[in-house]
Amino acid sequence: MNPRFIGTPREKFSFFNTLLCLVKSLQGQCVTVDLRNDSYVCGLLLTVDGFMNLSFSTAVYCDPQGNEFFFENIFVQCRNIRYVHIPEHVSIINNIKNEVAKEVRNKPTGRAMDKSRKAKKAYNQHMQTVASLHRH
Amino acid sequence: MADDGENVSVMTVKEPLDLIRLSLDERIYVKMRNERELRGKLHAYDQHLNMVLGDAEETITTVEIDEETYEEVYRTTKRNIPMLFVRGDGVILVSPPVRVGV
Repeated sequence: MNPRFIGTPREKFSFFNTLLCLVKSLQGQCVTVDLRNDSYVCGLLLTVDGFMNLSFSTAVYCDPQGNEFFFENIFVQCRNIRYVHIPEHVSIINNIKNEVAKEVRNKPTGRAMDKSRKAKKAYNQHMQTVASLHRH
Repeated sequence: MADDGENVSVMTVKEPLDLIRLSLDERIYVKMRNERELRGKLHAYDQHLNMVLGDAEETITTVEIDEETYEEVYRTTKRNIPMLFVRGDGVILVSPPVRVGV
C-alpha cells in the first residue's frame, strides 16, 4: 500500500479529522460495503480517497435482485455507500492510531495541523476532548 | 482546563455533537433514511455522523399493500452485524440509550 496520503488539503483534512482514517486502515483487507440501492460489494479494498470513494480488486457485486457479478476491478462512488462492514478481528482504535501515525511519520515537517484556521480549531477541540476523556 | 475532583464524570455540552459524545460506549438508536433503523453500541463518531457501531442490529421496514383488503402491511426484516461503519449522510437522528425500567 502507498503509505503517503495523496489528495487535496480538503481531503487530508477529512482524513485526519473524521473516521475516514478508519476506512482507509482497512485497505488491503476483504470488506463488504452495502450500497444505497440495497446492493453490496464484497472484495479486496484497494484504495480509499479523501471523499471515501472506494476501489476494489477481485470483487463480487450483488445487485438488489440477488444476482452476483464478478469484477476484476470496481470503483464505488462515495455517495452510494451506506455501510462498511468492519472485519471482526479489527481493533478500531489501534487501526486509527496506526493509520494516522503512518501519515505523521511521512510528513517531512510534521506540522500538519497549523495550516488553516479551521484545522487549528478542530485540532484544539480534539485535544480538549481527549483531555476530558483522560480525566475519567 | 479547570477540573475538580467531584465532577469528573460531568462533561461540558457546548455543541449538539457533545450530546452524542455522552452516548459513547452505550447502545444507541439510529434512524436512517429508507426506513432503516439501527441499534448498536456506539464506538466512534465524527462530525459527519459517520459512526462505528458494535453488535449492530438493522431493522428494515417495508410497506406492502394487501391485495384483498388494500390495507398497508408493515413488514420488518432484521439482521445483525458485529461491527459496522455507518456513513453519516444516511443518518436522520441519533437517540441516546433508552433507559429500561424508568
